Amino acid sequence: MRSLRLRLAVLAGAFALLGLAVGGSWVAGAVREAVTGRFEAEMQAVLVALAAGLEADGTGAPVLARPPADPKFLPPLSGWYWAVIAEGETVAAAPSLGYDDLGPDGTGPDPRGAVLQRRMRDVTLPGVDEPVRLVVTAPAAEITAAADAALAPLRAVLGLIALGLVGAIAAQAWLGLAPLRRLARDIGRLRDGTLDRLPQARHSELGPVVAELNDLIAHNRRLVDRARRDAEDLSHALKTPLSVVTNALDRHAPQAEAARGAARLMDRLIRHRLRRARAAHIAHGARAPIAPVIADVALVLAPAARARGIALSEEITGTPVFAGAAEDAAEMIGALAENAVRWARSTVTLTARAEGPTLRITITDDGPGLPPDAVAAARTRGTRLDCTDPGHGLGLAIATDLAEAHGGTLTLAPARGGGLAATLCLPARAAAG
Amino acid sequence: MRALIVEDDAGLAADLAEAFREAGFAVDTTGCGEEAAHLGEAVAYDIAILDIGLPGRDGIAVLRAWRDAGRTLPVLALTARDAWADKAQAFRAGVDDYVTKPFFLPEVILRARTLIRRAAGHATPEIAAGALRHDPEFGTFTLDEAPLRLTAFEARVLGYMMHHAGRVLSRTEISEHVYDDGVDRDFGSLEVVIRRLRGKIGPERIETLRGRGYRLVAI
Repeated sequence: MRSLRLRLAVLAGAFALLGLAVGGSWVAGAVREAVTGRFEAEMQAVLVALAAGLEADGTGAPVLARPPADPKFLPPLSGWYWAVIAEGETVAAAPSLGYDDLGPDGTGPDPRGAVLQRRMRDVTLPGVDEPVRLVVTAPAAEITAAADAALAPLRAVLGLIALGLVGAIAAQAWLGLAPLRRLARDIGRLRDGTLDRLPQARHSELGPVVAELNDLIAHNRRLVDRARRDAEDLSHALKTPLSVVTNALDRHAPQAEAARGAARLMDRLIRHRLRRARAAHIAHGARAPIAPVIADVALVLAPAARARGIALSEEITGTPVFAGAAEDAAEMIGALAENAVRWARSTVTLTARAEGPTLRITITDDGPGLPPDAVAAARTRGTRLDCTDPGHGLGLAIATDLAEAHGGTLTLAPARGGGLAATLCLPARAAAG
Repeated sequence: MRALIVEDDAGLAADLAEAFREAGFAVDTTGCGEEAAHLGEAVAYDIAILDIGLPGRDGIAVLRAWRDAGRTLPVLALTARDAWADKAQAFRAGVDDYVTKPFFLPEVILRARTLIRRAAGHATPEIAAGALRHDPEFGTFTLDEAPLRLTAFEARVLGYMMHHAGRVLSRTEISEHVYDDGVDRDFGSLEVVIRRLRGKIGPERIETLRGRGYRLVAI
């Protein structure tokens, strides 16, 4: 059974219903016994009255001098009968029997065929040789009906109790497990970044679980941060000696093309590792307003844009927020904007707006644009479109990698009026909260 | 032109110093943030090449100290940190341009020259003073479109004067920008260089204003 709630409800419900059934049948048995006992007592009273009214006549034959006066024995074939039998002959019988009898020994069937409850007694009369048999019957159906009538309210009450119990158990399972559902919801919010850590649990049973989870989350964050920092520090530390090596080769061994190629490869590997380390750190729950990121990118690119006489403009609609780290947004937008500034003739425009769950950032330039086959090549990691311009192709590859790591896309299309429009579609967050 | 190189890696600092000297700069180097902050405030450098990742007092703190002290010298940042957030932080602190490691020395020198030219208010790559022209990015001088043959020190002096053509430059100011800390400043030798320059570009192009200094005039 996969649902805890269902398991709790079914287990508790089954025990409650079994208890009700056992208790109910015990009470029902007792009621039936009591009802049957009452009928037995009535029949016994009639037997006693018959015995008391019996006398011997002058011939030594038994006669019923005072028959019982109970009106139950008047309606014909009612099942309520009595009979006095001596030597196989019915000496006297209840008016309800009419011309019928209960057989020579009193065990004969009901003339109407109904089931009879029967009491018999053999009495000996002074002056009579053979014992006289007294028989009283009652219709079994009437006893059962009386018992059923007595049991009807009990059944109704027990049914109501069963319904109430099942409802209470279901409600208890639902309410009792509500903190678990809240915890699951909070973990979800932790993942999507609405929460930084799990809120304190209100129930003592969940408190330790929440504390352990928070510790685990914090521990994981520390580990990931440290690993990322180590990777970044190592990458950065390698770049200074690599500068020395590259320039020494350039100055002192200009012919050593293989060594220079190796140095370039080292540089690419370092950058690649650094990017991997950053991309692996896609922080669940991060949120970054885009306007400051675009302002930073524009600030960094301002000297290059000024040098080329390029006008950088920003068009931000509303307050779009990226569902990720500001650093990642800056890497993507920066790489694309840097390319745009390099290729533009006079203007580069950065636009950003949130469209529901999607953040759309477009970087448009009025440069020569890209032929279709170059688009695919440009997005392949490290491919350069212009080999005289080191690292140009890397920008698009970086942006593509990072966008995909965030579950987004990068689309390159011709801009209106020539040039290239690079559009990043990234997950957005609500502006407020 | 006088450059301050702030780089804690001794090998890279030596490479940079050598390349800048070869390019005609007077060069001071330091690998210490405290000393860099002091030098930048005390000496009239034309450019600072500043490593952001200094141990102790880092490059950003050094730069802030300079800017707080009102020093507007152009600063070219060298940084191993190529994340855009790091670059933006450097720009906000007042960096004028940046080069990420590993870099090629010629690119650093080219960018440094561009920054110096812009800081002196020249928008075009070539600086002109009459028939005299100077391309700071290649370090070349021409007179009536014929290349001038200058020694490294002559080029340094003429380069500084061309960046500030039309302005009276005292001997102290010129010497501050053409000698580094390792050289005893000698006004006599500066006069010798001015005389030699007059011989090469025409005496009328460098005026002497007695008691005030020299002025390069656009003719």
